[in-house]
Amino acid sequence: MRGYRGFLRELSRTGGARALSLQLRTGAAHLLRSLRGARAPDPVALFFRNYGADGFRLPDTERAQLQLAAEACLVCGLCSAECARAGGAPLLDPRDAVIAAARLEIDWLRLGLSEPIATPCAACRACTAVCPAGIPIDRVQESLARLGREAAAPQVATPAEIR
Amino acid sequence: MRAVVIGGGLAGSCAALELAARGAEVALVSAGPGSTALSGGTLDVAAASPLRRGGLPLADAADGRPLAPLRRLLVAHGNAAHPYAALLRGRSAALEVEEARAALDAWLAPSGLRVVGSVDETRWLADVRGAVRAADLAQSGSGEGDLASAEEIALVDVPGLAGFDARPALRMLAAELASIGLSRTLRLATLELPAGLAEHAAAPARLARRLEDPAAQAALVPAAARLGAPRRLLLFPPVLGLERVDRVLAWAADATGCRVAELVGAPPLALAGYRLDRALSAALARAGVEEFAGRVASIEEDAGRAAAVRAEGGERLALDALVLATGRFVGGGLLERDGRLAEALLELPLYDLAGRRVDGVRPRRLVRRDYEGEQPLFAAGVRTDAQLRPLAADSKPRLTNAFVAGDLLGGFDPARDRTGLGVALLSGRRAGIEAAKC
Amino acid sequence: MSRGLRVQVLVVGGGINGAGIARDLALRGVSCALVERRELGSGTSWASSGMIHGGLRYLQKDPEVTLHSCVDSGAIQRIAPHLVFRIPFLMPVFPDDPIGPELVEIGLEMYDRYQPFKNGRPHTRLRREEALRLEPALSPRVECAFTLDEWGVDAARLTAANALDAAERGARISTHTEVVELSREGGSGRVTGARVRDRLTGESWRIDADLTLNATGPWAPRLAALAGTSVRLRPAKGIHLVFERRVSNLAIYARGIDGRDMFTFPHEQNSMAGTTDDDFYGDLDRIDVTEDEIAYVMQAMERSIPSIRRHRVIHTTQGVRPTLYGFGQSEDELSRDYEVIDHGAEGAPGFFTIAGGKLAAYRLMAEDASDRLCASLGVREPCRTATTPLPGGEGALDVEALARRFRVAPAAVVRLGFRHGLRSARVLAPAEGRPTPPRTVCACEPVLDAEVAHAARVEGARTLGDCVFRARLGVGACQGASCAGQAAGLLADALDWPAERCAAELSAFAAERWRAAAPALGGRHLAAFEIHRHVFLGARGFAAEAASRPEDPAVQAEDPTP
Repeated sequence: MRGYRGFLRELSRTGGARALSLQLRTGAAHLLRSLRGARAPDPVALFFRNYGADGFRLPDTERAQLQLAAEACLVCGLCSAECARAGGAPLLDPRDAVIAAARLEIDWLRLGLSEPIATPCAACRACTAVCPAGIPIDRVQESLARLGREAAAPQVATPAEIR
Repeated sequence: MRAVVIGGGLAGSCAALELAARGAEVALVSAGPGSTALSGGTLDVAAASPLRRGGLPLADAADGRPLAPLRRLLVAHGNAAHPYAALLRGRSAALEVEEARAALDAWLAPSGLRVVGSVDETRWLADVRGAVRAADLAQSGSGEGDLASAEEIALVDVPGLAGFDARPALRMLAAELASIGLSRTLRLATLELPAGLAEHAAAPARLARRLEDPAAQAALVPAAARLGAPRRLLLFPPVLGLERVDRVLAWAADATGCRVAELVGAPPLALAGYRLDRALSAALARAGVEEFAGRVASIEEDAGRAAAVRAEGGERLALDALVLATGRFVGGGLLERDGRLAEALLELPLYDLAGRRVDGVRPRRLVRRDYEGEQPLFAAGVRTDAQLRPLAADSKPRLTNAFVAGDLLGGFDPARDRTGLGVALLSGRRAGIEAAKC
Repeated sequence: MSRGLRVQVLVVGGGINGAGIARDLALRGVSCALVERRELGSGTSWASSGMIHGGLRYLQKDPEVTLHSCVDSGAIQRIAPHLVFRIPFLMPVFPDDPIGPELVEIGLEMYDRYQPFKNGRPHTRLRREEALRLEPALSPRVECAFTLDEWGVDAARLTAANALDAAERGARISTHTEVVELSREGGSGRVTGARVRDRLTGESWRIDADLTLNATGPWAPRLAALAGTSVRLRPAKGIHLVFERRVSNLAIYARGIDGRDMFTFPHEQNSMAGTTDDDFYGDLDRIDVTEDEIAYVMQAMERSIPSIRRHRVIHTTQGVRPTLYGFGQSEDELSRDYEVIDHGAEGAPGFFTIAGGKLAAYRLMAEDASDRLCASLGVREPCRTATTPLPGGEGALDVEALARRFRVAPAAVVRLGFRHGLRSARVLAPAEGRPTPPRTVCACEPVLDAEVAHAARVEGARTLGDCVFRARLGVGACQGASCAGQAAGLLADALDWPAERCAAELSAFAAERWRAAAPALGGRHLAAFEIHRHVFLGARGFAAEAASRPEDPAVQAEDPTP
């Protein structure tokens, strides 16, 4: 039992012809551009001009490895306990730092927050020593503290930086 | 005699301490805390094991008296491969457990941590959610919180404390007590933290640490004094000290003027396991056990015997006896290797509760839809002989001088059986005793 | 006890379409009621990819579909800016791909014309080294790559926001309420409403309505049958794998072994890989994820990101699309078009069904359906859903100011803002003036206790499971082990639950997390579930234990010698 399907269906009857015409026009323009040898001068810089405001930055291999290690988190809280025993009081609790590391990496930049995410802790590595999942928590804290400083500076990907 | 113990949880530590007590030179290799450090304050041997008919404790058919918890457990596991069957066969179970309790208590006491209770007495302990469990052995802190032992029970509300809500816990506790048939007066007592301490409420571990500090204690005395009342048992959330729970408990009892105890912990507020882990570490140091932090890379074998352990850091530890107390997934004794379940170090065959071989199987094939039902993946472990030597596929000991203790043992599902730390305690000591004979 | 309710339209089904239609009608002043069998958006909507994309692949045949998808994507961004987030895509081209880079680029150049409608950026073309610089995990076999962008959305919150707006404008929303039978008028067979039953309380009552709309998604044929009518669907199952955290900030295209396009894309806190599209003949209330599906998805992902298997998968999503019936095509070729069916010709006047469609087109579908219903009711109000902001979407949130005012970490406010937008202040308001600030319940988001309480007291969340959809509780690394107990306590307080209810809720919650996670269990996630079981099974209280083990047959064994 077919009922009224609305304008989309009506239009789609003519869709094939419109699609073809669009494809041909675009294809021709594309061909001309290729023949002229035109290419966007710096596509990666363009990418960051497009998406820098959304918090995107060039990926950092060290950070990526830290995130991979941090994926093993069991949310057990032993790092927080050990940090407390060592007398630490970092701005971001070690457990929260590990859980949040990937999200903070982009949210902070996207929103341009000026509050520090994490203070560089004493780096006593008590948290890392106690972690059952073997996560280098002290390095995660340090990476987030660095991120906070980077967030303060706007990202402009210059060709020199990328090449 | 030189022994190497792999795994520093309750099982491995007990094995190492028994070996040291028998004159062995012991090295303990530990990659970090495992499930021991995540426990909530009870050392369940049998009491918490869920053997109940219609919600009431079981009665002895003959005379209607409730069966002692350990006997209940043995009844249920009479012919099963539960480690208790091998550990307690031919011995007086209650005596064996009391000996183990006393040994552990002696090892931990210098750190201020005691092991209280007995396998023939059931205590009713409440946790931070207000749920009540039967317990036999428990750590001091929560162990003193037997609900049956006081006329009036007050939960201490600490405003702003992360991980604990006193009001819903109180309601739950009231309902639980009604189900058990224990009628008690329940109250809520609020502990207002002074300015210097209140800021730590969001990080309970920090608060616990600060409460060990005499200056903080002094600042808290006026507020604490308001909590006390005659014939009352005060149950605090488990933040009474990060390590020296004995001192903070003593101070609290003094400041409030009544009996105090901690609620059994549950994530995210469970410091008792952390305290146990630290106290075991201290005991190992006192006993002269050499601790190596890190994972074991490989075990060298020689003519059916374990000869040495190679740590990931490169150290080679020659040995006369080896104890494997590496736990299950949290501890790293079991893992997924190339997509299949495997025992981490010796490729020992693994078995589920039905005796089926489960190593080499994809983890996904070993789980069942019913969350509360049997899960072969989480009951998988190693089979051993009566001396706790792990068996190879041909049912003969894999190595003549290697022994297994703790969660790595098969035949039980620690989460459903609730006997994990009991098994760790009993099998750890037994493995140490047997290993010392090598 | 029975109570009656009289409205102009009864909407059955609280997914994105049902909620969208209820909102549209409410905005036009039409009285309506919505009943949902489970929780809002918990069915197909939750299992979707969570993207309001522009329909790139329709460019080949139906550019009008693309145009309207892009325009509507723009509209959703305007009315709910807090619920959407940009996802740049990286489309690698490999030497063995069926379509070469030039043709791909032509397609993207066509798509560029539509991007402005949805605040999208034009594509870029990257050489191999540039692509690898942007995404080092990309397979080194890549020949070249393209970027484009789409927008992601929290589908459950989008559904809830629509329902909330409808409720604030007079609609009666009932969750955990099912239709028991449709009311029919004797002679004409006209459908005049339904008898419904609250599944949690057992209470049942009658809703009398001039028109009844079936918006139950893949369950549409079942409800239609209650009116003696039929709806023909070709249900198609889709799954996703959810990673513990974002594996990249870019979405990366991956081609399946059968040539299907899939992606690993960042979504909220996680990355998701998917999706599949397979004819489904099974039980809609018991959709399982199979080993084959997981293998298929991972194989595709590995082609684009060789290291993908190193990442920890924490659970899966699974759902069934209510695709319109079509014979002879493969699942991918079927139309994502939709239909509003008037069952009057089948002898059930007053009964309509909306079927088919996709998440991105919900607003358009709702407008269309509401137009139809209003025409039938003689209501002449125009649609306002494209221009009226959804609750919380009225403007940008000042995260830092709110964080300072309520003494919560900015990170928590950020996540709260993603779900509640400007309404975040209302969520936190009850905590103002209290001696202690709101606390974190679930570290993975984080979710604050204030948000859980708000979900129960204001938004109508009724179970612990509902909080998964309302506040993303327990969907992170720990799968609820660290937060469910506390959340249950908060709900018990807010909703006056007896202890047995608390225990039952925790049990159901744990089982549901298990159901979604078990198919993909492995690697570093095994330890998480060892802990999970200790928390939910090992640490259960007396009442919970008694409830789950009424008789233990093992007790019959003989007493061995002690």
